[in-house]
Amino acid sequence: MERPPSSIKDSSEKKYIHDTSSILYPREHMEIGHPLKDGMIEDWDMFESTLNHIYKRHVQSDSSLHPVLMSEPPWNVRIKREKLTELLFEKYNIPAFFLSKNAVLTAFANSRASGLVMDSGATHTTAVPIHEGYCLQHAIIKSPLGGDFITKQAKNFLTNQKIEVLPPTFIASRETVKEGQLPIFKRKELLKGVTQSWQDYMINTQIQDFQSSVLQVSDVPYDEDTVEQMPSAPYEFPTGFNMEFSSERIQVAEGLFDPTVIKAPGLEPSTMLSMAHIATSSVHMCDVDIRSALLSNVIVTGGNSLLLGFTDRLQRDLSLKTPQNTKLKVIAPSGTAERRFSSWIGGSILASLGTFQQMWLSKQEYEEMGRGCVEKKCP
Amino acid sequence: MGPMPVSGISVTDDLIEAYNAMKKGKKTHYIKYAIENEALIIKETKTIDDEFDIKTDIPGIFDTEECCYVVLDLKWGSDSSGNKQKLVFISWAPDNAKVKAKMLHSSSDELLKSKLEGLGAKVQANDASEVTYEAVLEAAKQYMTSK
Repeated sequence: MERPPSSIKDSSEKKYIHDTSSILYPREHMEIGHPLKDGMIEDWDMFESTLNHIYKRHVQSDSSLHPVLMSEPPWNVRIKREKLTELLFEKYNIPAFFLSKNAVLTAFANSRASGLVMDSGATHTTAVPIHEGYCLQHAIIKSPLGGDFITKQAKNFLTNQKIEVLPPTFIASRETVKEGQLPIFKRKELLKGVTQSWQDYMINTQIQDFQSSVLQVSDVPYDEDTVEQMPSAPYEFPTGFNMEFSSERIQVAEGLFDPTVIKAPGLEPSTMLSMAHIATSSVHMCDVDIRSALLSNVIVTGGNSLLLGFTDRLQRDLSLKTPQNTKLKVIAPSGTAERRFSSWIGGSILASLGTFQQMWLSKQEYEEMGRGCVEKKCP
Repeated sequence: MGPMPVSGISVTDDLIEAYNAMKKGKKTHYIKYAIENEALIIKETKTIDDEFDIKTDIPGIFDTEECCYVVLDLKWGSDSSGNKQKLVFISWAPDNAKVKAKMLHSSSDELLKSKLEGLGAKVQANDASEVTYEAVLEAAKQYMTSK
């Protein structure tokens, strides 16, 4: 599920500010944080504050009136599931609850009860095999190569090129300059006391814009000659600096599909799996009888998969790793929202079905069985 | 209840009886089940009195935008190799269907299948290439060898 980042003010009395728009505003000592880690709830205090914000600003109704369906990563742990169940029933007094694996919701929203869900998000890329509605936990493959990794790669590239990236709000004035010329601009004096994590967040948001407007995945493995023929893409930075990017468009993203080209401190390229390798490794950990069903239903989801050329390259690389007599089919919804929020879409439809109303874990059941009931009703 | 999120749609007795009659009587080419207004119904039945050529008419059962479940009396083999027959469950959800229909379809699939006893094979199909006679036969054989 897509989560807005939250920010915290670290002092004796912590105050939280939520939503992507309100945290753009500079505030003294405001640190940027995220309640989830590895897709699971890590900071419960921040998570609760996020829930309060959602109820107050978005739901705008009493929490005791609305059943809650939440998605979770397939590797979520029992202790966190039970804690969440308890929190929602005890503190928010919700009437009913359901917890569902995000990969299953994604597969169902793409009308597959069996298939391999390839989810390339911000913090990681995962391959999760689904067989007749079950998540095959033992065969899940996780890799740290996702959107945040690409942002880091883009940042390294821009730093090496001596291109300064600043968000528009950090700039007081600028002049129009010709392509490739040094920018002429004045920095805005930042409010005293703004934190490094906030500045990093602002700069990364700008790099992500560069990422989605300029970067592209090559449809064949990177090589100088073919790349030279690629059309270039113009980009103007908020400083006024502008240029046409050609082969660089491809180089930055190539690491996803060929980790041997990765140059990054702390990441050992030889231990990283390419996108296609993530998928095939997961498939090979499954029973031989269901492998062809998985390969003929590879479902691509996650914001990072929206990188131009991502799906085509995945299809190509997978076809080289797939036995000749096996049918390969890569399914990727074309809409941005469908790709970023597929599990939310699936969950919202399920929860709104009249027939689903009998499936909920009710408050009464919770009161009778205790928090362990979530393992029984939503395994 | 299954271990997956399921729609909770009810599989009424008449749906199961129609299937049992097909299994016993061997007088039905196929039964087509569909979900309409969140209720599972029998959309169409073809019996041996209707015109139906298994080699050519399977694709015609499936609509390009609507999901359905079909139990098909699949026959293959020749007089010399021995005639074979199995009831095959085909779960059809085309990529052009609306997302709500897809979600309802996938989350009801297991509920229906589990109530139909004695199915010879279960097949998931999402595009036209998967619902030709050859493709269904191939998928059904693959299913049977894997079980």
